[in-house]
Amino acid sequence: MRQAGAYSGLLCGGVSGRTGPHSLPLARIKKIMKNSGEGVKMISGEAPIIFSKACDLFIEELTRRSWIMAIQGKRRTLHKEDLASAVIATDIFDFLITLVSNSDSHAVGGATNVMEVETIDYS
Amino acid sequence: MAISLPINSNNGDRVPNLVLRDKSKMPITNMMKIMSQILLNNVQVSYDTMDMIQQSATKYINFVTRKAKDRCQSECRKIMNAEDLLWAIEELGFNDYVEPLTTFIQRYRNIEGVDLFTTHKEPISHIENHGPSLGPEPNLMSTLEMLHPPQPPQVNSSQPKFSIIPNTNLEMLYPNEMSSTKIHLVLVVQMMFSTTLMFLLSSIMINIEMIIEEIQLQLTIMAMDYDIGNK
Repeated sequence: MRQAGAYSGLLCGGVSGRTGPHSLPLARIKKIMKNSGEGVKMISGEAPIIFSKACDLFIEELTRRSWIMAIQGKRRTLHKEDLASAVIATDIFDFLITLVSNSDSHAVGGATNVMEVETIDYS
Repeated sequence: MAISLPINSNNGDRVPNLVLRDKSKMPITNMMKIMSQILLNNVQVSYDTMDMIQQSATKYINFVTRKAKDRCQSECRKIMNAEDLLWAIEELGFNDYVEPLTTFIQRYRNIEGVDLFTTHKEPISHIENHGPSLGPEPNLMSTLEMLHPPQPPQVNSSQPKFSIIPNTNLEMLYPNEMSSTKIHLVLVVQMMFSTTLMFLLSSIMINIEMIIEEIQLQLTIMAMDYDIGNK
């Protein structure tokens, strides 16, 4: 179990120390939220702000666990295998198993271009 | 449980693929900044790993958003707010995130009016309730105003007067006007051109008719002379 004070330092100097008020763009987060399903129609202004911080914590945890796997393998470069091992070893990352398994099955590594269509539903 | 991203139909004739693909992911520069806080200086990240972490972040947002949507639908609400996301994050097992996120959102609400956030483009509806309890629904109109993109303000300048006299209109053509004024000028010029063209055609037709009558008269006189000459 991690210490409770691991993220307290980020919150104290987090806002003023960054290049902008948020580390991730809010419009991009809102667009991804709207594309995640047909039921998502209206999003309040605070939801992307919560997600910008939540994604920050998520990426940090994923990076840290991947780095632990890389250190166990005596390497200094993070590879896909490290990320896949970290995802498999952690229970809360089970929703990413399809992502890493699809990436491993396609050995070429070409990512599929997911197209999107703008939908306006304020009728 | 396997969750796959919805694959939409291809609409690539208007927008190139790279632009839309970039918009559906987190920007890689911001993620590199976040990751550099955890890793040491001598640790490098391959391109495949960075791409996979990009997709992981997108899948994380979709995963949590769907869980929050289930709560909104069960409570018959249409606006997804911060408490729904915190509940979904806790339900999905990310218990360590809830406390820093709660602290973050409380501090954000307290310092909402500070100059650091004046560059924020979207207005934020301030939700007064704290904790996971069922709060009142925020104002619908303010939310609608927030969701719609703000329209750029249009300059409503007074329209200049236009008359049929060509000299006056020619003077108005030279100064640089607004786009709507230019459209109006183009219409006026087209009207003037049509009027002038009709006038010229009418004049030509009148001249032709006069010439034809004169030719017929001359032919009649010549015929009479010919008859007299024969006798």
